[in-house]
Amino acid sequence: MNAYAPISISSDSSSVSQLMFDPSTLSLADQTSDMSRPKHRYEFVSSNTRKRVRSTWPLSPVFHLADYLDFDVPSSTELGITHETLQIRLQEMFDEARYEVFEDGMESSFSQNLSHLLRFFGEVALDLISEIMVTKRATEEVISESLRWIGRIEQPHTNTIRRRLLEGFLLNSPSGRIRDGALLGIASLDDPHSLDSLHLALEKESVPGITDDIQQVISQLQDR
Amino acid sequence: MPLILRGIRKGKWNRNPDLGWLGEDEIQADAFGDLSTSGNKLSVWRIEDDQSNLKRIVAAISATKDRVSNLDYALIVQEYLLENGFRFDQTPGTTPDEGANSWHLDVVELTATKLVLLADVIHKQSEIIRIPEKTVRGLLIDGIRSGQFDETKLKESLMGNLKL
Repeated sequence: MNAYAPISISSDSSSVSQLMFDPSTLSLADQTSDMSRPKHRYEFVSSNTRKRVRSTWPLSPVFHLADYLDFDVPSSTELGITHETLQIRLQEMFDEARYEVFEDGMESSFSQNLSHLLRFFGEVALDLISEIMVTKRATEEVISESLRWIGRIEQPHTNTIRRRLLEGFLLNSPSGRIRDGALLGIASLDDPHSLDSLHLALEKESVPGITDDIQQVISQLQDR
Repeated sequence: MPLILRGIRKGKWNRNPDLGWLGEDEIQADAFGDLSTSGNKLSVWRIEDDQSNLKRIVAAISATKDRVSNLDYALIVQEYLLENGFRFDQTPGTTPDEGANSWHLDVVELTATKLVLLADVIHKQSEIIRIPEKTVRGLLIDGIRSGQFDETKLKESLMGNLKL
């Protein structure tokens, strides 16, 4: 299947140009970009779905689709992205991330790409990411970082699946660093439904530092 | 006695982690990623004896980030570091809180040996604290509303994340 889905645009002050959609980065690249061009209003039409959206073109010629779409997320099939393509791209992201340095509160290439893919593909991406993490096809630090961001994204329709994924890693991962990442994800999600799992985790936890943090999150959720 | 605050990622420093190959008093090598120097200097913050400036510094550090997050840090008694030959220079911080910036220090003239010693001090002698994301959010919002921060210096992504 062709992985590229041409999207046509029209603008209030520019001639129509063809943009190519790159599913690996979920970005649209304007082949005739002019960095000095001021912001213009554009209309995007997906040739696959015929859906239209109006947006203001950012100064950068490449932007992430998920940031600008304001219509229902099309299925990956409609965008010409196969399940296999997404799986490969996710694994590549996790592999590349092993060399990144993560810092609390700071975005990274990995976190930005992960957030975009989660926002765009939701449960499909979560299932694939979970598979990568459970089968340990990523370093502990990258898995821990992923779990933090899985808790942070705002996506109400995946709240339950994300909560269960995070609780699963908190309760079952043999790695203290991964459990810590899962706990931070649970804290970000801020869902009192996690209390039962947190109490269970408190009984099981062997690392004193993590025990303290579990108690902290329990207090947070109880005080909501 | 004044304390020294250094931001870390707590997961790398947890004592007695469940790593079978790690000795009782040993530190994971990854922890050194939290002690990244530049020009053989390490950025730290001076906390007053009564910790009266601690919250303000936590808020100031958090105000430099891309988004609201927990803040993990180690608190070390400064006197202990001075006795072990560590030197400090007062250099202004670069947070959006001009008042807090005066409490910024650089640990200078760092050698690899001293860095290992510092890691050991953090591991064995410091208090390692996590300020949760929700608390940090509250501190940031209070800081903005009280005029503590120069809002023009806060990142757009952070402001968006605060949803004021």
